[in-house]
Amino acid sequence: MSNPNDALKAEAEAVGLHKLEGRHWDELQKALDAKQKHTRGMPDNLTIWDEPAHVYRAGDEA
Amino acid sequence: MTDLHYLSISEAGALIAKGDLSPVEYVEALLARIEKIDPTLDAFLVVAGEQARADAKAAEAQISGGNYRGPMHGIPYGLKDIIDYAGLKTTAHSKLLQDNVAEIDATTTAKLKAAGGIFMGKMATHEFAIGGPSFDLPWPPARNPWNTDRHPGGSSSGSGAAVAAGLLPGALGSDTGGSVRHPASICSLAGIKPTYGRVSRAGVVPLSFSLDNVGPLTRTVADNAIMLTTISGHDPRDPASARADAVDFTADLDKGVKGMRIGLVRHFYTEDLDAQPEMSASVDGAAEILRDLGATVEEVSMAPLCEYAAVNRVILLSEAYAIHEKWLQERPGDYAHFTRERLMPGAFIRATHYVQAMRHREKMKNKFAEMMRTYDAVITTSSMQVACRIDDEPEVERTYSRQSRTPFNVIGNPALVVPSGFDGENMPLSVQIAGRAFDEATVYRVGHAYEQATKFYEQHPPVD
Repeated sequence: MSNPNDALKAEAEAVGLHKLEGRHWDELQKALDAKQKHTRGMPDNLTIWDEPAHVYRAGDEA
Repeated sequence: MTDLHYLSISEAGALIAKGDLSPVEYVEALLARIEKIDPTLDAFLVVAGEQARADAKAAEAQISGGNYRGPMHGIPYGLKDIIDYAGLKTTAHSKLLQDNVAEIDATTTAKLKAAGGIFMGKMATHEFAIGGPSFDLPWPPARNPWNTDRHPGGSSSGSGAAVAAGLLPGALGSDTGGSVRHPASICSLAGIKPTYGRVSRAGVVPLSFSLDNVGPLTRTVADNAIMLTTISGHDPRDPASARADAVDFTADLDKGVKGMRIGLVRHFYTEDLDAQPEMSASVDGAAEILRDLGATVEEVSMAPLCEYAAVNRVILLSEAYAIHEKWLQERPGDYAHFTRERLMPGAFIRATHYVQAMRHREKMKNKFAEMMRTYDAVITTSSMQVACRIDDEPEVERTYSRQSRTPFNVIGNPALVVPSGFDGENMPLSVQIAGRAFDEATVYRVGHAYEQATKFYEQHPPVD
């Protein structure tokens, strides 16, 4: 994919990837597919009370 | 003395302690073997021959002078080239860091030095511990000593290849989504991902701050326990370092598994993914052997593998992109093709995805902890198949993700891989044993009991 379509190029430029060229466009398409797979693959069973694994601590005693 | 190169750390250490093996003779034997065999494996990026000879002489003088420091004194080791050794380059196998000279030792390096270990060199890795095996970097990828046309797993590829081929008795790797256990699985070695926070990450090139672990690859479980005992412990240089007590992981190795309750996570390799038949059979067989040794083994369930994989990838890629964003924007052509492709999804993962993944992570951790109130350990597969050809890019891409290691990166618990046999083409099979957080001792105990009952570690690859 030596000439990316406008949508793909816009995706890259929106995140500052201005220097992609040549085979990088194929890689970017695969990266976008992978992102979709990973983000959609997460479970959907959180409640509003579920805390994340790592939380900010103000100090050692906290 | 013959076959010094396949001495275990335990065996060599006992001989060195008694004065029956000279560290100088041992190091010379391994340097000669590296010179002979490494050109076919490309496991080393740098061989520190003169440094090793000087350190071996010093160790010999210390030991003969009555200053024996313990089981790593006089024992050669290698470092995955993302781990700093003061005065040497840490390249992460990347053009981007090819001039990066470490000013101080990583904490793990400092601990191995303090224990009297002999540093032998820097080991090949997948670029930045994520891209690979790659042929578009300044150095070639490491190859599998069981069949040099095949990959050795990764990302701790050189560490795995060198230890399996008898170039070193042990080496350090890192494990963020399975990168110690993959080469261990594929090269017939013992490899552990310790509990997150057990081993310092200070002085190690990061891939994912909340998932990175340093762990040893060795030919036996006892050797692995010796190396982990040496490198673990609290470190103020690492903000994630746990304040866990120091443990001698070799102390309970021989206590066996009689009376233990062990969970068999069978759905990982029969429903979530479909493992190579020999791999499934070897894990089912491991369950039978543990039963014969006196453990109760029962089938248990965890979340589906695809859920752990998604959570692992969202966290890993978000954190990795934060590290690599500037370089990917300014120097994308300096990365290997595989590395660029694997890092770029991180540019598009939203903050919400990352936070949701971290929330799932906590739930998954708690759910496993609840199950482990009933069980001492769980066993399952590591890789779903043996290594494929190193130059078969589509097959490498397809098979690298067919694994069940990421659950234990997500929840942070210790997970050990040990050899479980060979397939019809003499390629290594493996079984994975995981345990409670900070209970590596029990994981090693199960692994050692199984290993001693099967002794697959006595078989060596056809590199001579």
